[in-house]
Amino acid sequence: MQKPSLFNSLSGRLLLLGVIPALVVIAGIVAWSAIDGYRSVRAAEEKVLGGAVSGAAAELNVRNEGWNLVAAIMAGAQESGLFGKRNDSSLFTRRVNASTTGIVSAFIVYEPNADGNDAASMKDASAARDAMDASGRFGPNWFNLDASGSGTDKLRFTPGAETMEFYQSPKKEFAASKKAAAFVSEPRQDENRFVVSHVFPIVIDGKFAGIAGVDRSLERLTEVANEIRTRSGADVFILSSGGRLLVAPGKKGQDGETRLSSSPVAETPYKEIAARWQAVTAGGEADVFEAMDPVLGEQCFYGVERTKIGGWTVVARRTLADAMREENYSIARNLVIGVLGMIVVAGLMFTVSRGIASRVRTAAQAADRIARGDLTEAIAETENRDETGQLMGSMRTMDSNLNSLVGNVKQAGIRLNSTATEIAATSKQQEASSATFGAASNQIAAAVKEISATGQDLVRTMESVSRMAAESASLATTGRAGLQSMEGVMRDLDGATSSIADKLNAINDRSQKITTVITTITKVADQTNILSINAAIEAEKAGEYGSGFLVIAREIRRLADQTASATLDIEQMVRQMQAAVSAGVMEMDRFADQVRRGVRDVVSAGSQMTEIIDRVNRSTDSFKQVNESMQAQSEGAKQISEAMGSLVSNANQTVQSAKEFGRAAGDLQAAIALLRDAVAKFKLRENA
Amino acid sequence: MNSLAVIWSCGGLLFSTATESVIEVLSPVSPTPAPGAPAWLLGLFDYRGKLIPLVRVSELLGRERAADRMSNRVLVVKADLGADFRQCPVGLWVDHIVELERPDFGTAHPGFAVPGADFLGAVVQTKFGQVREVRAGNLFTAEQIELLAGRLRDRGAA
Repeated sequence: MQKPSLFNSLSGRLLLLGVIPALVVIAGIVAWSAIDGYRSVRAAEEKVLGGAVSGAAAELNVRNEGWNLVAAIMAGAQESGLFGKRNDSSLFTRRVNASTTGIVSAFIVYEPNADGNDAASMKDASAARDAMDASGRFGPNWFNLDASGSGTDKLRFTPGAETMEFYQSPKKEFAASKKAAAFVSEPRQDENRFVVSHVFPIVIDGKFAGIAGVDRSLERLTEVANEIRTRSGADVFILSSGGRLLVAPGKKGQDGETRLSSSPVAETPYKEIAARWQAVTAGGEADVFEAMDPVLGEQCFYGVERTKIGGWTVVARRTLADAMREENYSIARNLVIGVLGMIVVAGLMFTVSRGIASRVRTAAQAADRIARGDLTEAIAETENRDETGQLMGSMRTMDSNLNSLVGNVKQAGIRLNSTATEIAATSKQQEASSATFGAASNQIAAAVKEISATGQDLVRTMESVSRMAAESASLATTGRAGLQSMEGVMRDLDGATSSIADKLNAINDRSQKITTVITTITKVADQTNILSINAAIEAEKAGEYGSGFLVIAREIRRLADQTASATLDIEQMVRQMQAAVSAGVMEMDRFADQVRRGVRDVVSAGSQMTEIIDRVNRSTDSFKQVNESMQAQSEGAKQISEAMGSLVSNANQTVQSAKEFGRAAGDLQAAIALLRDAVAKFKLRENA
Repeated sequence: MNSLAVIWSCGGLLFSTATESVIEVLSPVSPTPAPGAPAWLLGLFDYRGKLIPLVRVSELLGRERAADRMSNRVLVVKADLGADFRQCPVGLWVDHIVELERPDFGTAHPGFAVPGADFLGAVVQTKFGQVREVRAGNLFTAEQIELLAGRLRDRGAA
């Protein structure tokens, strides 16, 4: 029996139909979960990063607006009467610096000789020299010595007033627009601090007369960036409107702390992506997109917003890996649970299906082997008690019973065949013997009939002789004249006597042949008797199967005994007949002598007629005796004939019985052959 | 049911032998003479292609030898003639076979033991008269077995 392929096997199909669909479902669930997780993360990042940068931009807007307002107030104070009052203006500037939290300096810068007092101030001893340059131009700058803005302050002339961007840019804008507007400068380094200036133009009589403003430290920007980072876990970039990187996250390995910078972003690796950042419109919705980070080398989410005041660009960055960390953990957890579950399910299915398949395969192989008639191998016991175990138990019981049944049938077939063969042989022998016996009996019957016929002839002859003797006596008594005639009669008598003697001798010879036949019959009966005994012995050995034949053997033996008994009777009758014939022959010899003597007497002497008559009378008596003997012989032959008739009938009956018996034995052999052919294809175990 | 036994006569007495021990009943056979053999061994005869001993049972039983007749039979039985001739067929010359009967030896008289004749068993009354069991397996003494086995070896019957 061929082992089925994996696809056709029970365990293979269970695995294919159970595990593969489950794997597909689990993979689908994991993939769907991953896609859904990515979408969720994307949506969450849009909210988180968008919210973070929007909040930061709003805060920066508020702060910038506040500092711009301070600068506008300072400029308004100049335009409202303080312009030209240098000492008061310096004092006002100092008070603004001292009273405003978050700034590092407050300043005013006049155009050269804007108030017409540059030369006079140089000559005025009470004028503060530190608030002027060498030409007497007024430009007081009160700045704090420490970054917190508290403690001591110091006056100086505002450095670079004529060349710096915070002075030139608002001056040019006013010249262009004739409108005074607040200005936020690019960051710069002042006294080792990164600062930006919030400036407002001083317009006197419609002319640009200078600027008033405050410097504020960018340290606060790092605080804003770190708050965003704490809230959202995102790195923060802040770019000035001129493309300088005000705040940037530290490199990896530096705790990701944001740092201040004033480098142009075009000189940093963020050059290309910064162009996309700066493309965001100020005052619009925060833009969130995904791109490769040039420094980290990872895919990142970017949230970008631009402030209305100052035009600063706030960027929040979060790596895709960080954003997806929890989702990845969730997906990995689902995947691991799914795979573990699948492995467990597959293992259980494989174990269960393998056990079931193994038992079913064993049962199938056993059934195939039994179907091919091979019962040599016993089916192993199994301790399994499920349906397959019960199937194996039933198969085992069936195999055992079948083995026992076929073994018994084979044994019975062998015994039956042996017995049937012997029965057939015995039947044929019995039939042949009975046929021979019947033929011999027929011969005997024919011979006996012939004896009987001869005896009847003899009786008739003797009666004729007797009559003739009587007539001779009558003739003798009537006279000598009849002597001549009597002589002739006597000669005839002599001839008849000789004929009788010959016939008696023939009877004697036939009797000898009868004796020979009887001996043959006796031997046949004897052999039949022996055969029946042997048949009975074999039938007894055959046990139950021979019980029927035991009866048949006993019947055959009874018939053989009857045959022997009848043969013995025949033998006795033939012996009696032979004795009678012998006596007849002797009598006939003696009678013949007398007849011859009578003839001689008749011929030789007529005078001895009386004596002749006497002798004739004695002959008559002898004839009478002979006649009686012949009667007895005839009666005996008749009895023999009747006995032989009965014997022939018995023999014919025996022949018919033997033929019927032979046909039955033939049918039995044919049935046994069919039985043997039917069970021959079964191979049995040694002990079956 | 009692076992079927062959009832046979020898020296005017009746004996029985179980059919399990009887192989076949034969007409009188002519054995090959065994010169110098004891009186109970008539010689060897050809039984279905094999030479087997022919034993005169009357001599073993100590009975007077009857004249040979046409009714004499040879009872072929399975006898133990030593290691080389287990279940060996042996012919027993008996006067004649009386009948096949099932004697009830369960209620029979155990019979009187006869020295040198372990094969004689119980005596039971049947319709034919008293019948004594003859166990074919114990038919011969050790000396007789040695003698018979020697004869068989000489004739190459093994």
